[in-house]
Amino acid sequence: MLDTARRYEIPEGIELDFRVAGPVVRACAWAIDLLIRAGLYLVIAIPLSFMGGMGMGVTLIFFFVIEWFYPVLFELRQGATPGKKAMGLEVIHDDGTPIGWSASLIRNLLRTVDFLPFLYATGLIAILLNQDFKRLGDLAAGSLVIYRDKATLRPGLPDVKPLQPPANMTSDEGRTLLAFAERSPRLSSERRIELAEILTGLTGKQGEAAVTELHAYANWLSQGR
Amino acid sequence: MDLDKITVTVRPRTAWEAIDLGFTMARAWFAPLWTLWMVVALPVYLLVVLLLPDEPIWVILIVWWLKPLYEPMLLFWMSRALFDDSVSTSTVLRRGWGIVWPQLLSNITWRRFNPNRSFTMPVSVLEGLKGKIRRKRIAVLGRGQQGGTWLTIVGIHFEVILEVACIVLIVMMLPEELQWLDIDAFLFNPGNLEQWLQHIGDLLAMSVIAPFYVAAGFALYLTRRTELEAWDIELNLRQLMARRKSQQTSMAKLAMMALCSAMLYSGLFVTADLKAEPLTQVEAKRQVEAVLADDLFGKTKQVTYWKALEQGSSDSDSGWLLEWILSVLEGFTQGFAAFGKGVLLVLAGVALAWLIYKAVINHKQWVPRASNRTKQVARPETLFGLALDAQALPSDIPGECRRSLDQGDMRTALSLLYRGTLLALFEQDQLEIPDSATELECLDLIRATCPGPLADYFAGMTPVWMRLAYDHQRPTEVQIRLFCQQWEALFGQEGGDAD
Amino acid sequence: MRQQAFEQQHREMWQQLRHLLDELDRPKRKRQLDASAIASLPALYRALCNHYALSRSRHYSPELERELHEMIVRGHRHLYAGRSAQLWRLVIFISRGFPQLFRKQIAYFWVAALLFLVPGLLIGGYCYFQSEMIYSVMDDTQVAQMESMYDPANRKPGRSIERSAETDMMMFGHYISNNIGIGFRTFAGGMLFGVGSVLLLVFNGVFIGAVAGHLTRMGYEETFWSFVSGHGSFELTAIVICGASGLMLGHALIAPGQRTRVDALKWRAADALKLVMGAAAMLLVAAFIEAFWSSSSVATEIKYGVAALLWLLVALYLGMAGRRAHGSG
Repeated sequence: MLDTARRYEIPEGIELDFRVAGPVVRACAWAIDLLIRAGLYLVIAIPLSFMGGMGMGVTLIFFFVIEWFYPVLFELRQGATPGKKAMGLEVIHDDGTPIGWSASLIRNLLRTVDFLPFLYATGLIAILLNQDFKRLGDLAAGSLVIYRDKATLRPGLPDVKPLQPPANMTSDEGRTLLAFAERSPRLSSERRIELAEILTGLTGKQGEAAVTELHAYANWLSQGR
Repeated sequence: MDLDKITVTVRPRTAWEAIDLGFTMARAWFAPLWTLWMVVALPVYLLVVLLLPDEPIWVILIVWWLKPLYEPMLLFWMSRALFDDSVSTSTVLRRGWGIVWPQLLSNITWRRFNPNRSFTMPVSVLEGLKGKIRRKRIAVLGRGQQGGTWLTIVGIHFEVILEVACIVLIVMMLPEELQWLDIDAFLFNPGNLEQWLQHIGDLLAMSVIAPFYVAAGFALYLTRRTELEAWDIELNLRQLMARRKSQQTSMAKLAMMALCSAMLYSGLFVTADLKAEPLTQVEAKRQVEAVLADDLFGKTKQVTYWKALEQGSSDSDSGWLLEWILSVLEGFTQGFAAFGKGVLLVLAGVALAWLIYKAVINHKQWVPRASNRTKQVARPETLFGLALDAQALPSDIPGECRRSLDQGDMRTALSLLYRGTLLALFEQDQLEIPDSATELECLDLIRATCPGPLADYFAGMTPVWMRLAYDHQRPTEVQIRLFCQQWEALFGQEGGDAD
Repeated sequence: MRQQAFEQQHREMWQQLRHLLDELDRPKRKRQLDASAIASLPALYRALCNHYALSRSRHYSPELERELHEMIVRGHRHLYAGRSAQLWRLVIFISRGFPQLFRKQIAYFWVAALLFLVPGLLIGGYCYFQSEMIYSVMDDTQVAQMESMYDPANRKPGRSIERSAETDMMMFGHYISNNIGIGFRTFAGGMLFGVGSVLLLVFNGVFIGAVAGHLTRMGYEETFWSFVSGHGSFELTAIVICGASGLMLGHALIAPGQRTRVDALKWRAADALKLVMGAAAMLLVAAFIEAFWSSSSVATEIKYGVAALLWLLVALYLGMAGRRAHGSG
């Protein structure tokens, strides 16, 4: 099965799914960071330029720090640069733990190589080839760029009297019914009916009644009678 | 199309994740997709070159413009591969015109600049919608969607980056003394040579990005349908129905088969089997792989472990001396191996001899040990305080018993019967009873191992004996006399004869 | 157990954990947590993991699974977060860790030093005896600029005429961004199977050697050597160390041994990174010396004396620091 989620077993013995982020969203994040860095350069350089050579020197030092350590600082602080954060991404070790300073430094110093020969062409090729979307820096550092999970409000099940589903339903099929009930508020009513009528051969119901029937099954699965 | 065989995990995703899924798909299927693109685009390129040999800029521009001509085939191929139905390139090409032709004109004119091109392509190519319906469908699907646009914007950048990188690499690889090319000329003032070289970079970049672009658009489309129409749930529900149906139909099929085999000596199925075409090796391999890849068959797991590297074999040109040394070494190792083998044989022989010697020394302990004896050894000498050997009992038990009864010694009388029965059970049924057993345990064991009239007899006697032995509740004399009669019935009258 | 009953039973605990995680996600000074609340995190988290495993094996609804998964990931992040960098660890690293690591990986250093010195000495010698040689290394404007920088008539040695008016601070910034950048690039070049590092080392060796040879031939030796000898101790050593760490990456990629390439790379990169960080610190010192001392107009003899001291210092630091009285350190 092709999927963008990578499964990692954590010490507690359960498996977590990390959804790895691909080149397009990362390019967007990089562009945002580029804008932020450019803004920072301007904000620092303009006032300091009135301070003569001294100011120039300080400016250069700031530029150096921003150039090399901007991603490191933010990744250590909040797991992602502002651009990545805006795109809902974060950087972690490939065992699922938050990024540490060593890995962060490696992946960011090695940007130089990923940058070659022109604007991250090497990094792009590496990302396209690697199944976890890792550029060379990520490979050396053992880091992974993933989507941050968002807390979402869970939709409740439709309020229908529970009804026992027909026998020998596998657990996966039960899950499908639950998913149908949970997601049906977001579907158009025609579509709901259309979906529910796929099972007419099983339920013997049509139209809105078929939808209600499936919801009743879902309720039974979730709370019993 | 088999819904069970879907090769992509479909679930609700954000647009960005959908694009990533598309990239994953394109990576997995890159070779066929790239070939499909190239097979169409390269002839177009060469054709345009023939037509406009002096206008390299126009050539590449036209090839770029005609992208919608190559892309539908990739999409078509992917829509089949999605359900593990990999169509060969030649099949797609044969059907090519039918896939590409519909709406081609609008595709390469006003729709060429639609940044959402990749996302809307499945609507026209796969759903085959046209005109107003198509527009309505796209409006519904594309509401609030910018993923496709961003994909196009970033995709263009990727293409340019790869292209320039290609040029930079070409320039870097050429020795500087040649002075044929330099980067300035390439980027800002390209001559003819530079432009033709640039085409290589352009074509490569376009061909590399195209599969990813089309696949990402397709994944966006799938995800959007998942979100709006719960497409994944539809798939699952259909699978559910299919499973039901197949259960029913397979039942029906079985019944039919039984009938047929009875009537036709299953000849029908044999011929059907014979008629089956022999599989080619490739086809067989594919099927085997499909079966192996099935989750039902089991998971493949990648395990990394350390393994000693094999020493590389000696080079052929290593010279006679080395070979001689090697042969000597080999002879030596072989000799050593033979020596080791000999040592092992000797050791084994010594061990065997020692075992035999030990066996002879101890033969008295184990040779005559027969199964009969073991049983006797397991027999307890006493049970619940009663002596249980043949010498302690008289040969005529019922007679002795009646004598005791006459003297009024009911206890001895019953004890004689009880012990006699136990002894008889031991002799007769090779019973094994641990000497710690209680009366009731004894009874359970006997009932379990040798049910029969003797066991029933014993079962009838045990409670009477226990009451007498421990409770001092005397049974009636008649009862004991009855036991005596039963005894005689069970063991015959030999006791009576001795009397 | 049915899903609803399961949820009701544990809902309260989940809310407690969610609240705790929300607080932990806030910046430290805004948190309103006592120690006991933080101490309860592991237990709550493990219980949640248990619930998640149950909800999966019992095929509860996908949305419930998602909700628990989201919380677990957040908990995981807090529970397994690496310790933040402490200043004290930096001090320990500079005073002991870096020289120890340097000695451990000294083979790479020698190789890098050869790659740097041999071409440098060869080209330097060539430039010293052959006046035209310098032009095959750099073009004529560069040569003219370089000559003007070390012209004894120059008020500030080591700076071009246009820059002679700049303050030391300005040059400090310039040296930092320039030299440490070069160091980092030399390291990163190791990712190209070591080729990048080798090329940069050789190139720097050739360039510096050529300049030195040419200027000595021109008779500018006093300004040139007194300028470079001071900070050269830190700068050249550090550049070679950066090259050495690049070579480590290259080694891992070319000859990963019994590991996979990626594993070998990760394994060596950890050490290589530390070397680069140490080298970056040395380059910082070098930039400071170069900006404020080397360009000053102190008598040449004193400069040479200080330079000798600095070289000795570097050698002692890298060779001795972090060694225990007995044992290898």
